[in-house]
Amino acid sequence: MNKVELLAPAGDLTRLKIAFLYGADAVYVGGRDFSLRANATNFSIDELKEAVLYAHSLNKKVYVTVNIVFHNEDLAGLREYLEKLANINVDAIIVSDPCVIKLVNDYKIPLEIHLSTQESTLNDYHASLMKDLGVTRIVLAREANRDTIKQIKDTTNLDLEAFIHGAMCVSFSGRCVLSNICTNRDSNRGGCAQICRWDFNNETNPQDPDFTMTPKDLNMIPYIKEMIDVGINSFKVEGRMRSNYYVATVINTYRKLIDKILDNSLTESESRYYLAILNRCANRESTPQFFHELPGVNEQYFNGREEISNQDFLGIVIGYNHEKKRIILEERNYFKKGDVVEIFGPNLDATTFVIDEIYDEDENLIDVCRHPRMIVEIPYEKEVLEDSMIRLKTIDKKDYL
Amino acid sequence: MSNYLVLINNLDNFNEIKELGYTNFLFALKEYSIGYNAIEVEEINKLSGNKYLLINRILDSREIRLLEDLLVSLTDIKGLVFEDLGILKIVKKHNLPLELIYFHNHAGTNYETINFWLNEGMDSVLISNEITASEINEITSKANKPLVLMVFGHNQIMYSRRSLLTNYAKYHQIDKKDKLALETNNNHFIVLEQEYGTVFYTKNIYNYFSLKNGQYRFMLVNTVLLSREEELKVLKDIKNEDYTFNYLDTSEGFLNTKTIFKLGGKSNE
Repeated sequence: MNKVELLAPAGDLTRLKIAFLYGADAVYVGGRDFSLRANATNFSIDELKEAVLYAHSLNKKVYVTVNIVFHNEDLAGLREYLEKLANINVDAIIVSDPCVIKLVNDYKIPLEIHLSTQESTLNDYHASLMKDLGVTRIVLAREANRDTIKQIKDTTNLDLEAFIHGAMCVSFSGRCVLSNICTNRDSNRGGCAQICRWDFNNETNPQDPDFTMTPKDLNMIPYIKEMIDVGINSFKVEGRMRSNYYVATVINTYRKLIDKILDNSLTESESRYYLAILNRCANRESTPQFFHELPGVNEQYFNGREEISNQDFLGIVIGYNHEKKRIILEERNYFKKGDVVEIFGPNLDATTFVIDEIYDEDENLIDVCRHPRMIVEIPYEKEVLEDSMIRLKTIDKKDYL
Repeated sequence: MSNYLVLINNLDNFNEIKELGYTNFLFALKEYSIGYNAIEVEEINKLSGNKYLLINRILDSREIRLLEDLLVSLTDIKGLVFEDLGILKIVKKHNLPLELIYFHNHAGTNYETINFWLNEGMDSVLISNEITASEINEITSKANKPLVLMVFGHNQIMYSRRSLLTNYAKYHQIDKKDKLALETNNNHFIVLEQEYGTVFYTKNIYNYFSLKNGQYRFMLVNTVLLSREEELKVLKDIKNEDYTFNYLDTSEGFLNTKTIFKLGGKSNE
């Protein structure tokens, strides 16, 4: 079976490191200009340089999104920016607007070009045209199904990247300016206000319920093996504005899933368990979409959807007290003595334990931990690595066996 | 009238429109367009004039092969107005004698990109009407060939492969409509669902006649969603150089409205 890449989002350096620790082979990040998600933290040139050095030290990769649709005024400084990206050895840029391709080609800037999903590439003729123009990888339209992916692969032999998890646009990517109309925020330059999540009055039949069109999130857990088989090279997780915990959980889960597929050891019950973990982490339902069939009524949310924010993520491990055999934890959400929790981390499968004791920074025994970012110590016999995470135990693997 | 390209929404009007002096006609091609009254190629073949086919769907690998078969068999069609870039590859592959107009309304937003496509084989490109008048004028002045501007029409602002009106009706167990008027935060839309997806249009009509001049390859008059009577009246008014269209809900769209995208974000460096 082909070697495949697990590609993670990284909104900043911290999340980039988390993504790599939890099993990503590559990350995609945005600079502070020319990138969608214009209102994420994003990376300065110095931070991009640090990110690339760190990734390369692990033999991993960094792709930089240069994926806005440019207006005249945005063209200034683009060439210089691309040259800087080349100088710091980013592994590729992800491009939507061909004016970027033109600059790379005209000035022979040594950058590999990946075509963004914003271009909604859905057929092999389109892919082949872009290959002629110097593109080496296509990030497929989310609407691509099994047959069309195979046709594109067979015809072009291009590297193919596909989204496997995260939020979906209701439209073809790049084919929606509802945000521009409703809020004056330019969706194709990174200002999307997600109007597809709003409610609309039905003016044709005012007595009918409000119209909504929010898609459920994507997850491709049941189809990863088939996606490998039809030629997907890179499996991409959406979410440059998501949290450390989200990145760690999703990447950790897909890492295990892909590795088990590759060594032919994945069971049906494990698949269902992984799905439960992912759904719980995002607070949203997720379903496969488009690869196997067109999404229908069950792949959308309608009125009355409840997005209950959970507080499962209790804290991140910042060290281990060897002398007293305690985890040193930075708190994220309220927890208390007696809670049943799971610890998971780089190279650590989720392990259940009960919090018997909590010590504050002054060595006082406390019953509850209620202040985000407070530092506490929790007895745990085995050493665990920094950046491991503790979550409330809400899903029991035994239920899936 | 030779620099107008008129999208024919009501085929029954065709002869009268021709009699008004229009010579260039755009027909939404059945199976390969979305959001329009689509017409079979056989019907289009029966008509005379400079005929262009509108192909604005994004096509998968199977569908584009079917389209390829159709394109190589075309006769008496002057050009294609299309969105899927795979079509450019097909036309190059077969060296088809067709005028090519790239029609991706959200993408024709800067002169470098437009010149890129002109250099790659497009004969003209649609300038986005989601940018300001000064941006449009700068693009026009710096483009290497005359471009196309939609000077009149409802603006198609969202295109989904999903059957959004079917899903809405099914979930709420209400009668399914293929067309709905919707409103949110005082923004009004018309939504159409067809076999291959769903599109949103602005309820008002963008009137960009303030930018009218002779340097465009075409000024596109898009009569989508107009009744037969409205379509004829609009085209008569344009012939008479009356661009007020008081009987319709029109707006100047983005001509004087610059979009924003960074809300206090930092820059590179």
